[in-house]
Amino acid sequence: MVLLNHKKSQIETMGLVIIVILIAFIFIISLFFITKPRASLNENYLKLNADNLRSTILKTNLCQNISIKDEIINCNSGFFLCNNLNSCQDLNNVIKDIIENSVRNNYEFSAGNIVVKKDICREVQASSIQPLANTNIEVSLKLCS
Amino acid sequence: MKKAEIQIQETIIVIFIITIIIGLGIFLFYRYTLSSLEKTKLEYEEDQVYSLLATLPNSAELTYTKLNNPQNAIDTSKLFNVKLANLGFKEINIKQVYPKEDNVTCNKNNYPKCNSYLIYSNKGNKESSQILTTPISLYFPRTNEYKAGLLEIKWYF
Repeated sequence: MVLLNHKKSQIETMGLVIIVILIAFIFIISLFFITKPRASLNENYLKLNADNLRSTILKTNLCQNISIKDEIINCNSGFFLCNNLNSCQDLNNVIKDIIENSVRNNYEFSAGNIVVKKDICREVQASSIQPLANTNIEVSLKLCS
Repeated sequence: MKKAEIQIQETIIVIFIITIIIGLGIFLFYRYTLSSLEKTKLEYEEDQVYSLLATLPNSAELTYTKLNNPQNAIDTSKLFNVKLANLGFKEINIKQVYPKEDNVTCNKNNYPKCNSYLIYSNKGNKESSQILTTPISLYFPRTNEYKAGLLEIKWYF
């Protein structure tokens, strides 16, 4: 009877040890998943790219002293100051050219009548928005996966 | 053989096997630590490049300022005399993406009819490399124009 009780307690101790080891393993594996800061760094990088790209597009000159920002506003009014632009489609092409030479992501750029995009924007990874002063135009650039 | 001798032999075999297991464990742990350190080093260098991409365009050596106000653009006329501090094994290029120019590295003679400025180069003897880029505005003081560009940092490891 005493021998049987001794064996039973040994098995219970073994069970306890196995449970503790399992919990320790689960804890260590969960730590591996919890401590992963890389994702936020990539998000910041994409956000930086989106902000820089929006700012660069708007600032770029199309002809002397006339920027893309000026011509986006003019496109909504239906006239252009630069001789090398005949329609909003020409402006679309310029913006598309700049974006596709700068980032590899799919994207969606919109500013009033101007809408430029590459493929379907399944998931927005970073976006940058800027309202244009004295107009109701909002410039939006989304970088997508 | 006596029972005691057999037990001694058993003990020696057990100690031998346990020693091999411990040795194998130490070796695996060493390899894991080494690869994990290598990974950490790469991540640290990558962080440095991310940080450089965010800060370099705003540094006094490169940025275009008007009446002492930064204009969020790189002054291309500064790029020929730029002296950056030791940034490790990297190559930093600034490329013009719009309007398109001939694929020529810029110097004082062909400026601004060129499309790329090499502002830092220290390749060392490293073989692997990785590139990160970010869009930037380029300012040309001679014509008072802004053009679209790309800051490209290639780091060697």
